[in-house]
Amino acid sequence: MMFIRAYVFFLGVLATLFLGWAALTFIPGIQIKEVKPLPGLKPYTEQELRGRAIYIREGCVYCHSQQTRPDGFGVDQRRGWGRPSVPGDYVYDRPHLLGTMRTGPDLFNIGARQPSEDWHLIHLYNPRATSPGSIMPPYPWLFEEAEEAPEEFYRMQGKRVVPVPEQFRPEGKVVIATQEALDLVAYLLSLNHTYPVKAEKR
Amino acid sequence: MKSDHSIPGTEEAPELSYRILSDTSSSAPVIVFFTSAVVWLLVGTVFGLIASFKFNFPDWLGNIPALTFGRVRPAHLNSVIYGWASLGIAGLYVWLTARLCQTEVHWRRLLYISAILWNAGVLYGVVSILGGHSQGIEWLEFPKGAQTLIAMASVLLSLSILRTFYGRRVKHIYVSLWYILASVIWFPILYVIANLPFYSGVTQAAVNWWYAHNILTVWVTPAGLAAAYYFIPKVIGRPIHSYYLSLLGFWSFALFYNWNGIHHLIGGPLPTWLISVSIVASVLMFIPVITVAINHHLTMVGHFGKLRYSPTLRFVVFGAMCYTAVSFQGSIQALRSFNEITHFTHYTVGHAHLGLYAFFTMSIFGAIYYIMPRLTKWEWPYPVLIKFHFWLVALGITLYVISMTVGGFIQGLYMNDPSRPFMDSVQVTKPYLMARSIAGVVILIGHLFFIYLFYLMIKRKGVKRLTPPWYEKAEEYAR
Amino acid sequence: MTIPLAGVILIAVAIIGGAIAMGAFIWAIRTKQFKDLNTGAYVIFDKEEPVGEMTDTTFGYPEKNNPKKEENKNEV
Ligand code: HEC
Ligand code: HEM
Repeated sequence: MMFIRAYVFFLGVLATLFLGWAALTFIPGIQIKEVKPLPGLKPYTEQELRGRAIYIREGCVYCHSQQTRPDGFGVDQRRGWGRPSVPGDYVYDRPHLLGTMRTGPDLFNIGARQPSEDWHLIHLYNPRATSPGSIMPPYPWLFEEAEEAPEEFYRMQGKRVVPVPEQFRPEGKVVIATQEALDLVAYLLSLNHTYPVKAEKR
Repeated sequence: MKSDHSIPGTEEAPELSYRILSDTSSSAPVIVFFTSAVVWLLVGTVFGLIASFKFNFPDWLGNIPALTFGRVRPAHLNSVIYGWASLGIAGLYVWLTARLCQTEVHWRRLLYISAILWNAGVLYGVVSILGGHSQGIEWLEFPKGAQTLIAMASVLLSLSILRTFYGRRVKHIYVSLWYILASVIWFPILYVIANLPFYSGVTQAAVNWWYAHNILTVWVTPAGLAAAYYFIPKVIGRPIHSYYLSLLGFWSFALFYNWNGIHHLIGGPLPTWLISVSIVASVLMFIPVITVAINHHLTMVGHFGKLRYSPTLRFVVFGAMCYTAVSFQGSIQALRSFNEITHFTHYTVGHAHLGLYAFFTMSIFGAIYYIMPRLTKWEWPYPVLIKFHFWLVALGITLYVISMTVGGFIQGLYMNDPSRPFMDSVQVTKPYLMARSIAGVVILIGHLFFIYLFYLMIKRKGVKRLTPPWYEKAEEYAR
Repeated sequence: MTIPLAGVILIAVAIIGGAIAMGAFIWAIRTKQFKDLNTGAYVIFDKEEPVGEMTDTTFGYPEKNNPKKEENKNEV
């Protein structure tokens, strides 16, 4: 009797867990598997993938979402953050970076909203330089500092000088973007999901 | 129920002998689990505090890659979840299972191996995150190696507990034990399924949040409830008010709770029906929550005066009340109209700490205050420091939750007002984020008191526990 | 879109799962698994730590209603 009782108990426990898994992930998984990449969606390039890895490494996801909501649910549309995202937008995302916090703005379409490479580089070097009062962390290790010299001098060596305003960089130095910074910005600029999608694909 | 395993020399009190047997045999592994849990609590709290101050002073420690917000935050989450909470749960489960089965702990060697693997996994994982090797999936940031260690550790823990259960010397399975058994079966399965390598895109997001919510469902919450169902009646000396309700509570809990996860993605790019199912389940959670709340309240009625005498009771009752609060809050938060405002804001962080701290962590503190003297045969020195600990963390977490709840709600209102620039929603939270940091400092001080007491306990400084004269003999036998 | 199909599968799974759970529950009642429910709540008590007695008084306990007072004098 004791044995049967414990047995039924375990069965119940397993059944409830399995049920939840099946309902919430497995079935939608089948359903979403059938989702094809949208025609306008391009796979990431090598460089963009490297940038994406830095986005993951530095934990941008804890402050930035990458999902836009439809009209009638939040004001993403009216803020101009782009049309509601659909499963087909994410087929190349591994790991996913949907995010659940908006300490900073949604970045699903940042590439369209802010296409300036310089802006992004300055912002990453010190967010306060472009956005006074920002609480986003700085990422100085994505940059190098070098002696002040005409930009021409560095460009000849294939280096990218970032036009950081004077009061935000060390005295007598210029700020040079590392490959990592350029990769990250390339990824940010690739976040452009403005291509059309047929209605109610959600 | 008569126990059939009297120990020579304990004829005076045969019932007590099982308690000596189980407490003595669980002593070493449980102390190992609790001690490492306490270390991770300190580590996790410090990371939490650093993360919090980063909001107030974003350039502070701004040029140390390992201490950037985006790495410290997951380091905080993972050290408190897989370090403090999980190892604390392991200790609680081992001790409580042995007691409720009225037997000794079986397969103790597995427990030591489990503790070693578990600590190694968390250490490896946290160091990897700080070093920039995160998998980038929230709650599952640890690299595969660390996850493998933790998965193995949790299987070993479960095996030992199930073996102890198999060797039980009592017919009746007490309600706390239901939660423990469900939990030790669920958790390893959940952890392994969530870590399978074949998800991507939106499916992965669904699995991610199914997991992140379920780890609360099957691991953290059952531990808090098992503690409440045991310690409240045991400390006040009165059986649980309605045993029937506790049964109903368990099954409705098991049925509804694990459907909740996708409410983290309300409004997101997932099939609408899926999110609706989650919302319905979230609201259905009212049933188990109310049964637990009523039951605990009616058990305590007429006994609230006893809070004066028992630290365990204070912490556990505080935790049980916050369980009701956090569950109600959660059910409401899942409603679309409300979620529209609070989603993506600090409100969620307030909710997380109301659950993981005010409910769970407080309950575990209570459990540790009860269990440790029975393992070390030593009384807590300086009861007044326990009071400091209680009041500091109770006030600290209250300030924490209020500031995040209010601040997050206003943040959400501003965010949903398209006439305001986004930056307004950042600016408006600043005073609340500062209040949160202050709350964090208060909590950290409380933790330092606790850690000091725990240290004295391990070192056996202070007063020896009062025990009946035949105790030593029985203890010798149980070894 | 395959929502209807997925919905059908979901409902089927839910019904089967629910039926199993209900069956287990009815079986448990039939076989009187819940008969000793109210004594069950008492398994955590015994002669040494009986109902009506606090088991944790770290912050002290008023002398007049401390049932353990006598016994505590026997300390080791
Ligand atoms: C502590 C939270 C936090 C973290 C971590 C964070 N950000 Fe931000 N981010 C913000 C805030 C707040 C803003 C809005 C103010 C501003 O523009 O700086 C912002 C703004 C931005 C913007 C401009 C958005 C717009 O619409 O103008 C970009 C791009 C951005 N962040 C990228 C990143 C990247 C890339 C990372 C990781 C390397 C990152 N952020 C990490 C908080 C954060
Ligand atoms: C001094 C005490 C603590 C402080 C200052 C603190 C601070 C923080 C901070 C700043 C965050 C990040 C929030 C964000 O991203 O906006 C966080 C997240 C989190 N903390 Fe803590 N924390 C503390 C204690 C704890 C403890 C003891 C636990 C659990 C046992 C805990 C569980 C969590 C969880 C689960 C999250 C993730 C929240 C989410 O994803 O929404 N914290 N904490």
